[in-house]
Amino acid sequence: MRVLIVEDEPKMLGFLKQGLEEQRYVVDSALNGDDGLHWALNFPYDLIILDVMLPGLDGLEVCQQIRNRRILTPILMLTARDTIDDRVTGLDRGADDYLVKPFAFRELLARMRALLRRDTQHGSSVLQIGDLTLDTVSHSARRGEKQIELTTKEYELLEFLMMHPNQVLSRTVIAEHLWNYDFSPESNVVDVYIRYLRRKLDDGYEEKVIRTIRGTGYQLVHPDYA
Amino acid sequence: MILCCIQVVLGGAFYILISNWLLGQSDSTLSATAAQVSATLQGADLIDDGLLKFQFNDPDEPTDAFLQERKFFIRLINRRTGQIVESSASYEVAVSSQALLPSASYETLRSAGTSMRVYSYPFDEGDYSLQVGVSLEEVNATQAQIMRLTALAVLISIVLGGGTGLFLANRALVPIQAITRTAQQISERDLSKRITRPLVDDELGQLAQTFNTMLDRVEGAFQRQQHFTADAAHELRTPLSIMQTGIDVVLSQARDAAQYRAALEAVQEEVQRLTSLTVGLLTLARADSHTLTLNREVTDLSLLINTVIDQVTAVAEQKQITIQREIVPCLALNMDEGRIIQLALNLIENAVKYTPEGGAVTVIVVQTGDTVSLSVADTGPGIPPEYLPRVFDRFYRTDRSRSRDQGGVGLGLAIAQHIAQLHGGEINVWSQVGVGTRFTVTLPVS
Repeated sequence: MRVLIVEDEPKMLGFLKQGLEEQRYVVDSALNGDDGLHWALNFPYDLIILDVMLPGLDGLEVCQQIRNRRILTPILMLTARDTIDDRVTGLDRGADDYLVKPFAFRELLARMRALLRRDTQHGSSVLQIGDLTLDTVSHSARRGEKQIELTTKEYELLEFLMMHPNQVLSRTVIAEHLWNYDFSPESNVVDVYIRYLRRKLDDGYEEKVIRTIRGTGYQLVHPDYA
Repeated sequence: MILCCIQVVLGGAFYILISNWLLGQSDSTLSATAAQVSATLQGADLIDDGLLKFQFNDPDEPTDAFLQERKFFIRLINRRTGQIVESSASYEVAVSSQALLPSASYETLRSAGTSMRVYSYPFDEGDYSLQVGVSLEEVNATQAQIMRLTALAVLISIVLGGGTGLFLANRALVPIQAITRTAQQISERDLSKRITRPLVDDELGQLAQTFNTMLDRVEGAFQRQQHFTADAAHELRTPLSIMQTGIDVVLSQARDAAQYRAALEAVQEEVQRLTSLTVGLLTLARADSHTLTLNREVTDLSLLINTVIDQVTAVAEQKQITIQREIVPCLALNMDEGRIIQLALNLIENAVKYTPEGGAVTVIVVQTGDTVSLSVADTGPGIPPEYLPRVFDRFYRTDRSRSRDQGGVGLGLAIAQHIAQLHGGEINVWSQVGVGTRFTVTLPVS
């Protein structure tokens, strides 16, 4: 899951980036509204964390311009202002959630998970497709009774596939959501990670969960829809 | 109510006066008639033949009929016996004791349902009493009429007066009620309500105007206060949130010593910022409540400024900034040394902060007349004119993020202004974009 953080306090931004990366998010960051808007308009984020008070374009304007471009990526606003007016304005300008500083980092993570699963068929932080389950809090995966150990990138890939079951995802789309701006891999790197994941998920099973759509990309098969 | 009573009393007095005047009128008619009759009778031998023949102007007209028509009677009474000697036939009136008195007198007697005003007049050397009477019928009728008219007038005036009073009172009360309603609607949540001004520019119009002006001031003060509170909350929350997020993230998994150290250093910086923010807010709160007092003593301002510059020089040298001094030596001033150091440090540190590498800061201290001025000029980017009036506002920053990088909390200039004002002086700013900024503090010598 690729996340954009727009926050003007360098220290705050540093801690947030570190914390989210440790939670297996792919993170881009911007220190002001103009840069933040540029990133948001040009890369396919799964979530945007936006501070309200920013030099240059403020968070409310960035939010509005993102929405004006019909980009419906969930936006979570952070602010040190907590009047009802501030919150109402933020939500009305197109934010999906609002968190007042200072906040507990755990709460930020929980709200992010809630926003990320909102447009999926998953009702909780545990994603389940057939006999495959992925706990997005503990980052543990199982198939049936079998516990599956995943590396960070394998986890990120599986989470992204499970958030979009039955959708055919191109290598480019997968790459864009799994790596940030600092590392843009060739699309065959995606193939390597798919191979890793298949070895752990599908080896020894009759039913394969990951299907290759020739010339297009990959698909995580939901048995109910297969 | 009081008005009603006054009107009734006045009406009564008017009636009594008119009645007395009417009575007086009939009395003088009576005495005149009596004098005329007595003159006519003088020398007549009426007593002898026991016949009284009254003669009036018109000898042809029968006297009785004449008298009857005018509702008069005339009679002669023997004062010793009290018997009526002779009488016109017009009225039957009993003889009262007053008629037998040796002097002229008036009295009101009753006869067959009619009031008679009777004038008794000693006649024929006091042996007889000549009485002239007149019916008070007309006088009574007039009195009754006057009574009715007066009562009507009083009634009308009460109704009219009351109505007019009520109308006027209402007219006066309506705007007051409007003011009351508006006042009731005003609360800290909504200070925007204003009284619709009455069309007339009377006392109420002025009251409404005064009230609205006061509301403008209160609303302005309240907005400034809310702004300040929101800014203060923001400034306090920012370091707190950096600390909380930093601690949360670092504690979320085991780390090596270097990572803990880096996190603790970041937290330490934020604690220092919170501390200076708290001290600044406390200073301003004390200044606001007028509990910020000065410990004045005569101190050498020149030495103080030189020492402050020495203190800042190390930081300036790192940025290759030269601090030029034009300081008149030995300027003794009665001041709070600690506060003036705070003020000077703030201005000179700010100047160094905003001056780019290789620039210059100029500090000038001079005495002109009975004021001493300290000016600190930088060669920084300058402040756009639209921001200048607000540079002394709390938490006001032309570029929020940049000045935070440089460790400012946004209260220094507000505090500097307070310190200058407490010393009876003032602080002013001059700035031009691209040229630089100059702050000038003037303090009175005495």
